Amino acid sequence: MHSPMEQFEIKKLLHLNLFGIDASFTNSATWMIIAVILATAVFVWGMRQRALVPGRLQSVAEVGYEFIAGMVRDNVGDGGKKYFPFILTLFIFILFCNVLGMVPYSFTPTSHIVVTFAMAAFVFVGVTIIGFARHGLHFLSLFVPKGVPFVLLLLLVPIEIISYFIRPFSLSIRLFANMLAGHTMLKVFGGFVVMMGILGGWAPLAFIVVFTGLELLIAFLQAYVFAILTCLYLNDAVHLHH
Amino acid sequence: MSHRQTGVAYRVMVDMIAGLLVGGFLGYWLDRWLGWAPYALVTGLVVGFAAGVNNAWRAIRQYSKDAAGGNGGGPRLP
Repeated sequence: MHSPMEQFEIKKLLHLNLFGIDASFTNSATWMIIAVILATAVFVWGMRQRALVPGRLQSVAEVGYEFIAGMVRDNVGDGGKKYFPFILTLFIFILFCNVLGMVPYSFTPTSHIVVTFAMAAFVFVGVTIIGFARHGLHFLSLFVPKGVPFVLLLLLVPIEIISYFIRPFSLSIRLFANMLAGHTMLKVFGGFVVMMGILGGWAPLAFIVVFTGLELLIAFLQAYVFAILTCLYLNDAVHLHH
Repeated sequence: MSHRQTGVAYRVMVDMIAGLLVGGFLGYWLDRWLGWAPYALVTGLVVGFAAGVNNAWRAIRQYSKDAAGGNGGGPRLP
C-alpha cells in the first residue's frame, strides 16, 4: 500500500539545469500552470459576452471579483485600490491550487511550504516596502504601542518587532499545514477502507465523503484567510495603525 | 458559523504556534552562533510566545470590534 505522504512527492518531469541551479520542471509546476490557465480561462472566457444579465461563468467571475473588491474596500479603504489586482490574483491562484488539489491523482502545490512561504515572503517584503515608501522612517512607529510607560517599552518593542517578523511564517505555515493535514487524512482513511474490507470499510468511506466536503470548505477558507491577512497587513502599512 | 469566524479561529491557532517556532529557532541560532546556550533559546521561546499571543490577541480584538460595530458578518459570502 502507498504511504500517505507519497502524494506530496515532487517528481521531475523535465530535467533542466540553469547555471548550476536545478530548475527542473516538476509536477508541482505543472499544476500551478494548470491553475493559472484555468483561472485565466474562467475570467476571460466568462467575461467574453459582457452581458448585463450574467450567464453562469460570468457570475462566477463577477462574484469572485466583487468578493475581493469588498474585502479590500472594507479592510484597507480607499488607499488599497492600487493593490486590488495583486490581492485578487493571489486569492484566485491559491483558491485554484487548493481546489484543483482535490481532484483525484492531482497534485497540490500549496501543500509545500516552499510555495506558500515564497508567496508569504513576497507579501511581507512588499508590505514593508510600501510602508517605508509611504511613511519613511515614521513607519517604525508601528512597533511602538501608544500610551505605554518608557520602562515597559523596552519589553514591548522587541515583542512587537518579533510579532511583525512572525507574519510571513504564520501566513505560510497556516496554508501549507492545512493542505498537508487534510490530504494526509484523506489518504489515511482511504487506506482504512482497503484494510477493513467489504464489511467494515463502509464507515471510513462515509467519513471520507463528509471529509471531502470539509476539505473543499477549507480549500476556500485558507485562500480567503491568506487574502484577508494580506489586506490587514497592507492596512497596517498604508494607515500605520492596528 | 460564518466563514469569518472560522477564519479568525485558524489565524489564532497558527499565530501562537508560529510565535513559538520563530522565537525558538531565533534563540537556537543565537545559541549556536554566540555560544549562549541555553539562555538565548529560553529567552527566544518566551519572547516568541509573547509575540504569538500578541498577534492572536490583536486578531481577536479586531474581530470583536467588527462584531460589535454591526458589520459582524464582514463582507458577505457570495
